[in-house]
Amino acid sequence: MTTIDTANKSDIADMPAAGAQGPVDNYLTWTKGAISWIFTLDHKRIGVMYLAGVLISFLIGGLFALIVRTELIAPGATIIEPSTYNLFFTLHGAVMVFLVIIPSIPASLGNFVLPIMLGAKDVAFPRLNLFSFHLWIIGAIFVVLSLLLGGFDTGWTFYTPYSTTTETGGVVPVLFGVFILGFSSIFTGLNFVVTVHKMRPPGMTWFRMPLFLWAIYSTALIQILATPVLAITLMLVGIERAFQIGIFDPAMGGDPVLFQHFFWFYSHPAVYIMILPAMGIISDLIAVHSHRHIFGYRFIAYSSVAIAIFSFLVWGHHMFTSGQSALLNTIFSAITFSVAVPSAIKIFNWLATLYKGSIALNTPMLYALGFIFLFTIGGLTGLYLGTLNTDVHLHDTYFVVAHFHYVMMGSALIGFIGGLHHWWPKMFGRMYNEKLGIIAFTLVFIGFNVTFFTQFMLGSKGMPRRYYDYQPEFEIYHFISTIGSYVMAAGFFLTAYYLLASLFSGKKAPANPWGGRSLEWQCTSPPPHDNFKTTPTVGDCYDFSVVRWSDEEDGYVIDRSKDPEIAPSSAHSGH
Amino acid sequence: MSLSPDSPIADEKQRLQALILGVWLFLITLAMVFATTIVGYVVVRLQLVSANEWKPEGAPGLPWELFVSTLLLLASSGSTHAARSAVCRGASGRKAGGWMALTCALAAGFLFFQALAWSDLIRQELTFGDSLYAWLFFVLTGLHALHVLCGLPPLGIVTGRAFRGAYGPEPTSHAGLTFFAMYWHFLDAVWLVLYLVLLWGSRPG
Ligand SMILES: [Cu+2]
Repeated sequence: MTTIDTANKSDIADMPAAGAQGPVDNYLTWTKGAISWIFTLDHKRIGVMYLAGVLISFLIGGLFALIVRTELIAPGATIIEPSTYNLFFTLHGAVMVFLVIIPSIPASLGNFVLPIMLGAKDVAFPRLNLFSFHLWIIGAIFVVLSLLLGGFDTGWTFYTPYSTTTETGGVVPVLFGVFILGFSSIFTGLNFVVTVHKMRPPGMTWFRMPLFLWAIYSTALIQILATPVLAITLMLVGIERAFQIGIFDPAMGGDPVLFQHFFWFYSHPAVYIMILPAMGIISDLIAVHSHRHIFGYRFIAYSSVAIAIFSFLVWGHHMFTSGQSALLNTIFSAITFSVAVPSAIKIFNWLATLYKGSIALNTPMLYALGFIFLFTIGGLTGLYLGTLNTDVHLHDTYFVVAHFHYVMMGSALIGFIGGLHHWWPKMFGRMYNEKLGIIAFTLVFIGFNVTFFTQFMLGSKGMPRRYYDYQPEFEIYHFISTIGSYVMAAGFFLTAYYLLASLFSGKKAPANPWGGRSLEWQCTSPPPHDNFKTTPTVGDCYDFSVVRWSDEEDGYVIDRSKDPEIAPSSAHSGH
Repeated sequence: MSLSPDSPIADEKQRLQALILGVWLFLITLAMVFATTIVGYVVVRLQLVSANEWKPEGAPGLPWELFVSTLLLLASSGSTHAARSAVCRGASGRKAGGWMALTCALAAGFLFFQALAWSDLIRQELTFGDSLYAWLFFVLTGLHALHVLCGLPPLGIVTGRAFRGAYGPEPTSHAGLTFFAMYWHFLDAVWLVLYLVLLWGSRPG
């Protein structure tokens, strides 16, 4: 088999990337057969398998959401029984949180991109990476098993004492499933931390890393520190359920609020496990698609770490009405406000990057702009919930539902979809239909706002979350919200259609379709099995002045002779 | 045998450093698991003591066996360390293997006395489902014992390899022993904290 040494090739100044020189190997066809995928150690294949798992889970969780929204389109019974409704909203939450959003960016896109961005052949521990994927599959099987055993109606938060006493039969399997998924997440995080620490290529100092890596790194720290708390807490709930005694059981002198402390000690940082990687993606999307050096690199990098640290100190804001002391409430409220600072730093720097950039309004960029808009709304409405006196009114209403959907879906998931479009040509070597991409984004964006902005109004008027039935005066809001969810679903189905269609009939993707500067754009699309034959040298990955369009490549090329740091003559001088 | 042959890191020394960092991160994860249960213990005890419901009437205190097992676990940490220093000095396989065999014996002794403590308490009618005082004791010691049990297969493998003289003085040539020692010292440290907490908790108020 003829292979071309991609790294050496690009050492030659201004040389087009692979294409005309004959066949280059590609990770998708490197070996064949299902076994070669299931037991692969290749981070790219593991990333693609995670992607498939996450997208299938997203379909399932989304269908649950549509059932819930359809039931709520009118007051009273519409399509399902109250007890079935409880199962469906619980499953929607659990599947979306544990099987979709948490693994979406780190485990799928992160696994694929992180080693390539570092110019490495793989993550530090490839076998552990495969193991955590297998754990993810086993965890997902337990979640499905819990469905077959009667499901669970505890809400995704598993609050005690309800979760230890409810009659539904799926509680123990799902607790076990989430426990396993937790360890899958921990091992992925561990792998990424070691990889970033030990495998950065020559020339890539900490402050030369693409901002996506800073985000993934901060996320991985949270995964390692917070996830074990959830894991052991769920085990204790399982033991309590089995023996009908435990530390969360008030009948024996236990404390159900202690469960809430443990749960939110994980689950608040988990919000940042979801949002930080999306912020990392947005930093890269904004810079690449406006062809402009990222503004305030260090501020964005430090703010990721700051958010990771703050995330451990604010969990009590979920418990303002739990009987927590007034002093604790005040402290948690104050620290919660401080999270606004690093978040706003990111927003300002993204806007400053866009200013005077040559912005390509393509699908990834639209998702990035959508993220900024939706995250701003999600973040600012968080202030009403972090304020003690307003929270007492808004607690457990649709206002909370709308707020966290703006953050977890409107931001984290939109960031994931944006990143998916950005790296799709790299992952599969095909371009998707740009027109359909823009139409689908428009549907998703409008549908999302119609669905969830309405819920802010519902919540401030006092509609409690999770209820099956409601007063007639809420009907118009619920109706509009449900219609919005159908529009959004149409957008996602359209996205699924054109992405899948691109695999069969999409135009072949060039190595660098967007004009990116980080290392993943310097190997072929799709990347070869080994990524790079020799470790490449890196320059400033946000300096786009050396990137120019090439007609013969039908993509961008990097003019290495223009950059003193990576030009062939000085590449080995070791400065 | 080369160190983790799948690793993309070419240099063996750097590979070892990456592995050691990985083990540290894993131990931090486990530390968070134990920290959570200990925090739960402390919170529940403080609340129950102030309600005067912590230690049921006539419930036994901390069994004496735990003191013995604590000494045994401490000693096993020491013998593991001795085995590793012997290997680092380039001592013979018999010597390192001997220390590791002692570790095996001490680990078995630890588990034996933990089991003895449990059966002692059960004989004194302290049952799992009767009070949180009992529940917490069994869950916390059980969780720790479970981690010790999980350490036994690697302990066996490391001991066997030490006897065969498979470990050399170079850090990269006795990595397995190093990882085991890190894990074992960690369990030792966790037990010391746990023992002190249980000692404090065994008082009625
Ligand atoms: Cu929170």
